Amino acid sequence: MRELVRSYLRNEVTRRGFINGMVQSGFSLMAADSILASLPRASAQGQSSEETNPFTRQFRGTGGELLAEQLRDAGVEYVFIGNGTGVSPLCDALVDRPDLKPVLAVHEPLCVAMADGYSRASEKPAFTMFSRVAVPAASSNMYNAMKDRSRLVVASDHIESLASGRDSHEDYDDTLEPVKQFSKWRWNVDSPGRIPEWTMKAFKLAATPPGGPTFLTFPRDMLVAHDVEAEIFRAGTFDVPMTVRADAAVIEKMARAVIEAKSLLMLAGTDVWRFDAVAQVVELAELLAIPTTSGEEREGFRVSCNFPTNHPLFLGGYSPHMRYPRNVDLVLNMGGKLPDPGTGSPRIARSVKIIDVRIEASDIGTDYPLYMGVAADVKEVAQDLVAAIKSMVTPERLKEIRGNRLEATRQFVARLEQGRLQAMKADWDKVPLTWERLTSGVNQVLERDAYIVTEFGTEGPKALKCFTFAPGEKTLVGRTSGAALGWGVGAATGVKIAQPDKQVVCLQGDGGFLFNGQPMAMWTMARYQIPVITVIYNNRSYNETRERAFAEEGRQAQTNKDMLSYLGDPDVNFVQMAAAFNVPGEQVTAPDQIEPAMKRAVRAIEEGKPYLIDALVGRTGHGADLAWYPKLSIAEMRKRKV
Amino acid sequence: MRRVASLAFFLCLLVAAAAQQPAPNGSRSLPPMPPGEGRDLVQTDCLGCHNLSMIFQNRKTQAGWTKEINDMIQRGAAVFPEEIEPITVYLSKNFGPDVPPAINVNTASRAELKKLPGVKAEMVEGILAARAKAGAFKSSEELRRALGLDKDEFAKDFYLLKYD
Repeated sequence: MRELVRSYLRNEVTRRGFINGMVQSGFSLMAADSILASLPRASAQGQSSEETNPFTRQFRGTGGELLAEQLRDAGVEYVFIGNGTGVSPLCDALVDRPDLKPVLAVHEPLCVAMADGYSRASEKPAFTMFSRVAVPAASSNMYNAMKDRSRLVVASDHIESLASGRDSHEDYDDTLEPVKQFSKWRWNVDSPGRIPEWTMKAFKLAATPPGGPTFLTFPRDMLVAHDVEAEIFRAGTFDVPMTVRADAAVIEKMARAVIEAKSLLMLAGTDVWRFDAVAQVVELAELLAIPTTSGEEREGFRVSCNFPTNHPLFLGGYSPHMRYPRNVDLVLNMGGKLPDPGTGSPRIARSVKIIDVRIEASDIGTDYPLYMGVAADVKEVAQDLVAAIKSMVTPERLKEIRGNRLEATRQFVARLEQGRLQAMKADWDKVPLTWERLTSGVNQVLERDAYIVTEFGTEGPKALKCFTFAPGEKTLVGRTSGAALGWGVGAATGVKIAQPDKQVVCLQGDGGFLFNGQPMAMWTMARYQIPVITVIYNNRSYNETRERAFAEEGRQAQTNKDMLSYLGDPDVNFVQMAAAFNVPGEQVTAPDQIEPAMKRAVRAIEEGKPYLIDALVGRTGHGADLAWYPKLSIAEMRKRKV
Repeated sequence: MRRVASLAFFLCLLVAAAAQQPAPNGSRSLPPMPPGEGRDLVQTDCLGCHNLSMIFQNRKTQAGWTKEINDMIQRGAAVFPEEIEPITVYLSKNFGPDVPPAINVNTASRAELKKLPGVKAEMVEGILAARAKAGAFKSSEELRRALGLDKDEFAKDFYLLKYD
């Protein structure tokens, strides 16, 4: 009996196993039950599993423990948390679960950005939880995550169920309304016994393509509830792989259209990255020598890189007036949103056949008339299309179809690249730095397969074109298509956690850096030794906003008064800001300083330290030279110097 | 002083601006570009990304236009290296620092119209007479027909008129 009790206390046998063992040792069922009741609950040590069921396991414990147990089975390794009393029942559970590692961020938008970056770089769903009163602040990055269909489970606490609805301390009426548009699914947990079920559902819906953030609120009494027994859904029981293939007849029709097209253009969108389909889409492009652009992403690559940027068939971004190829009669859209039709004539002419292949069926055919809409996985479609084309035409015919398209595309791209390099050299030694000079210097020092996390405005393409994004080359985790500022540095933090053995560099505009408490991401970097290089492209301006405003030719432009966008005075010293978080850094003002600074940054991250470079870059466009802003001094307005 | 919008900014708006291109020059209210070597390149290369209204709004030297074109190339404009020279020569000739700003044909005075380079006095009177008859011109094509000019002749002398 002593051995059986010891085994029970060590969680080596279940409650049922303990009772069976006692009965076999001669104890009555009642006596065995009585002895069991006198023993400390196994849940205190964190386990009470029914090992016979491959789909669920029983667990008894607090609500916080139930949540933690389900996070384990959802494959969570890192819990991105923001401070709040309501989060503490989960933190209590983390004390005895070292496999669930808390990463504390000191501003909730950063929790979401870190989880987002982690999810993108790990290709796994991520979990973050913070206080209920921080939900409005965090919602800007939830909006970004929703735009990009990021696989996030976002949670907050809430006031106790018995006290809610009274506008009392930190209460608000509808806990789900604030994130309604920015979540794929949302739920208020109102039964502690169902915590694992709803958590499981949140993970399943967030991760199932097309993904998107889901949102859970846990009233405090749910997580502090004790002695709750519930089923934990085992790992693998709520995965829904979306290997959706198109019907054979659909593939055949697509193949015929592609074969018969006189001038074909392919758009490679973010589904290609999501479904790990780059190789398949490249094979399709090469089979028929199809010139390819990244459709909805105007720089040619923004959220992710969906086609190797160094491939001879890659043209960059889509334009409705592309110089090459001309007279396009078929657009094959593989996995991205079709180009925004805009407010004038549509960006793809109505006379062009469009085949739109995406997993997100609800978007297909909503903006353009389609020749074919195909709700399927781009990887499967690309594979099936290649096979179908090969079965329908001879190798000689394939060669004929390809014609000289590969060479023509290669030559077109090479001429443009020659022009780009020539243009870049024109201001190579300029001070303040050009974006492209700075980025070229950064690129010189980085490893070939570094991760590049960016948050740029309209100057971004100039920087991004300095890199090669492709399998085996650099990986882009680009600014979200939502484009709400205040995401980049937090996201880079999450990327590094997901990819500790890769160099991670965050290229961040100064305006965006000052949004959403991003400098405070360095606190998290410093505390957890997350060695990321952050390069601030500091032009002391919201350059894009000023250009937009001045283009309207309104009073600001007429009077040369920049009411909105100048960020100098005070000229923010980002190096000092980093130093406040014990993050080393330096300022770069001239071209010859870039590479030495980057080498020092690389040495710092090799030692496990984050590093910040504050690089002064030039403003561009209308009003670039303005340093005017509306002066206001409350100090001078005072009647008493208090 | 009249302010001019930045070409660089408009290039940034590759998508949105280019979506509004019903006419060859990129806008219903803009006149055709003046003839000359480089015009076709401007219309081909620049329209890939943005409409041409920002060209009409800008005045730069050839060096200034070269800087602008270089900036656009960095952002992805499909301009070949050998095209930069003819483009910038054309732009600096027709949209150089000494070229006056465009004026609204429907509100301009006789004196303002007379300041337009290349526009003869009888043409000014023709515009005023046609305007009095038509009320207001909605497009350059309306004015061209009213004056009875061929397209290139009209574009050469009347590209600095707006039709707001």
